[in-house]
Amino acid sequence: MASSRLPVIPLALLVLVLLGPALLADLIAPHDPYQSHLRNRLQPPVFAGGGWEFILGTDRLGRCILSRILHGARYAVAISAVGIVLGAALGSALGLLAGYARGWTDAVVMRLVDISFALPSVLLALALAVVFGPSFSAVLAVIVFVLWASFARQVRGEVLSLRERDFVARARVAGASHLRILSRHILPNVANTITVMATLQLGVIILLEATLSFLGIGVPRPTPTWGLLVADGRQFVVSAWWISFFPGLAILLSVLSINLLGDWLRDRLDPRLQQV
Amino acid sequence: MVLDVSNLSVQIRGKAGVIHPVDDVSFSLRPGETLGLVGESGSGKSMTGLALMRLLPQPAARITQGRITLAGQDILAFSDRQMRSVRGRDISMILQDPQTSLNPVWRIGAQVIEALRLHAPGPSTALRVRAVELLRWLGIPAPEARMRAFPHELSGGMRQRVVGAIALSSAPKVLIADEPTTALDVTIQAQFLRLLRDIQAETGLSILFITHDFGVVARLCHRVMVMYAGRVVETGPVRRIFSAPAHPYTRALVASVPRLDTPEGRLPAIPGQPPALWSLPSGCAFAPRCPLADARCHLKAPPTVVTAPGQSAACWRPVA
Amino acid sequence: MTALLELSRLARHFTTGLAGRGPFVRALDGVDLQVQAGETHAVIGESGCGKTTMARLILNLDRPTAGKACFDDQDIHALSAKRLRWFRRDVQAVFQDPWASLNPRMRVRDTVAEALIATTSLSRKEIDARVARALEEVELRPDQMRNFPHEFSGGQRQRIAIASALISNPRLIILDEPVSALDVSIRAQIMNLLKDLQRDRGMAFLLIAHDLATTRFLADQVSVMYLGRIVETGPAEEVFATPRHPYTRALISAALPSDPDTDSAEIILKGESPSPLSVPQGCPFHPRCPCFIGSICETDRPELQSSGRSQVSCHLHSR
Repeated sequence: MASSRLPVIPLALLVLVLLGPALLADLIAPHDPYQSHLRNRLQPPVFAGGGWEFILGTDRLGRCILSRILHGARYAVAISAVGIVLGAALGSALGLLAGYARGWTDAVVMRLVDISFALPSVLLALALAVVFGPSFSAVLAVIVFVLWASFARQVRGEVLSLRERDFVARARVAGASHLRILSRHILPNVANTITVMATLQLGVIILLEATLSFLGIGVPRPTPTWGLLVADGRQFVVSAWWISFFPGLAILLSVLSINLLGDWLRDRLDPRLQQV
Repeated sequence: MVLDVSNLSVQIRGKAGVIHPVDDVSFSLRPGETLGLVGESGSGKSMTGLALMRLLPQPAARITQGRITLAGQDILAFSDRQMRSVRGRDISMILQDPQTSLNPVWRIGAQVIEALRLHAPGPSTALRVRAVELLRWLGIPAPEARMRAFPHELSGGMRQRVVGAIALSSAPKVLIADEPTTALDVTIQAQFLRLLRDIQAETGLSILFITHDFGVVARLCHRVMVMYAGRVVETGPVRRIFSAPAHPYTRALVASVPRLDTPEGRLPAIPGQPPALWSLPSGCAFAPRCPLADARCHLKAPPTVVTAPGQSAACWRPVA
Repeated sequence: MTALLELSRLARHFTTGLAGRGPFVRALDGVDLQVQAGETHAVIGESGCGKTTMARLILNLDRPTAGKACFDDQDIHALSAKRLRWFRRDVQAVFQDPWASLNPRMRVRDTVAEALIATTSLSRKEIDARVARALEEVELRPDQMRNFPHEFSGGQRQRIAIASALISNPRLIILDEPVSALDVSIRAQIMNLLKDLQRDRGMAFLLIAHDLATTRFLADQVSVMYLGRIVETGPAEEVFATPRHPYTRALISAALPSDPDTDSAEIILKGESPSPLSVPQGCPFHPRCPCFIGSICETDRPELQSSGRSQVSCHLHSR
């Protein structure tokens, strides 16, 4: 039986690593994330022989790793929040339409879904970066492109079965319009699915953004996104491991805790698990 | 007695707290007898069947007290391994939905042969012959051809016969049938009930038939046990249950079923709803709906009293 | 007097497979049926006989392949938008499973008020008053309109479904197996409620059922369906007392007795109802018929003909 207790540790981690820093980076970051301290280049973290001034050490320009991670959380949250809202809205709307209208609408949407699944997202990101140059909006476009199809497919599947349910037939018999059936009868019944999917996809987005930045086709430097921070340490993996390690750890902890929260939310909202 | 159950209780831990879907249930089953176990949803009838098979949903449900003696053996003392060999060989089960009782990706023949092999291993050709015989015995036309069919290629009635063939493959002494005809059409249900009676006459099988339908009881059962909110409220021979029910619940239930021969007027309906197991009244669970209930009924659970030879009721004010 | 609902030669065929090139399913194969105002007409038959398809056609949830369904002398499938609004108020439905027929995310008030919200422009207050009255009519408390369906038991949910069918003052309610998903001790309550409502309001019921005793209790007229056709139709007491079609006889004999002393000679039919994919030639019932009289049953499809107060489609009776 699934536990219904709030998962305290993932939630605390999420606040500590992602949400807290995103909100309070300006207040809690010990240094300006863009400021170079050329005299303190490649300082190790405090427990590996470094000083208290740069707790997690510095990179090759002498920038404070801790401050850069804290500010990076802000970009992680902004990109994933905007991306998830846009992707979920677009995908769910198309899925709703395809499942309810069926026929050729359904066929067209589902072929688009197939195409979008078949196209490697990194390739698309490369193409966009080449055409428009790396930018925040290009990253968002890639994220929406990667997300919408899974939302569309999942929502369509549920709508297909919901529209055959007796309560929809009853609404039609009562004279309800298609708009009313969609908005009052079908959408509320897929809302949980959309919420849970959105939560679980958050982790995917953070990873995707980090991947794009790492490859140099994400948000341009010197913005301290987590992917860029990891990429910064590429040449120093042996000599100054902390440059890549701590941003990587931030990514790992955020994605892990988001997924744990998503699992919990799915168990909570799944009506089949609510019985008994 | 081929099966003897005494003071069986099952407990389930859920979000709403601890409930007792089976509460102090005792009964016995004679060789060649069909005992009808009648109740509404939540009465504990299906849970009783699962407890007899030791197939309660784990780990939420567990047997808290009682004894189940099957062919002289105390099966509650058995290890899981011993129990596996008892299931199918001594006691077997048919469930309501033949769709979920069969594996959709296996051919019918393979599933029947598998069941045969489990308790009596032998060469494949011999098993195959026995499987065909078994299907023919269960009234499946062209059994050789059906061996190669997948479950979805058969009708509901045929699937339930296949489930029956698997359940009876190693000649068990006791068959638990949990609403096996509820999903079937009227004429197919009649065929299946006839088949069960024929098989019983031939083999002396004992059947515990779980149902909510008094019509099935009237056609098939020798004795009847009525459950309400986890407890047995009445046990008796089938004729007495219909002609002289002792418990007010049995009496009201029998009266509320519409009849083909007397259609006029209103039905004597039972007021109210069956109680939820997590908020049972303190006395008799039926008291809030009972026309005869007095103060004592609401305070204290009634004892089981014998009201006629072979008939007993758990009631303070049984109808004599 | 013209009938409230009149089906003539109503048929619905489905094509299967890719681009409809697969086998051809005759779900409903030319049905004539009349329902008079204020009466209960029951349609009985086993799964696959076409009764659900027929209900969907009458409710305008589907369109016929051939034939016509008229309500109040107007073709249901050719109504203008304005007429359709009237139709939606006049014809309502109660479905079998009250767990599936109520939207779990909608409050009782909105579920019950659906027909009013969709087809009228009443104010919130007026709607609340109508909902309260409808709930009282089905013996629920008006303050329960704020609750969600999961807070109710099966019998109470079916009462909610009935209230939502009543609210627009319909002249015809399609009852699709209204009690078969309910607990035994609740069925009698709901059947009594339906009978009382009809007595007080005078609407007609088209009852779709497989349980004969339920049908016997509620119905004035009975039609028996087999493989998409009506094989026998007539007044309920007539059909149950003197069933004429061999299928009706088998169905009634297969009905479970109400006590162990009821002495009924069981007619056990051979085999099962064929699928509507392959309806037999001639009389569709002939492969299972215990009264098979010869080659005419294999070649000629019998038409409905009067026999006593009933109509039967069987060569035994067509002389």
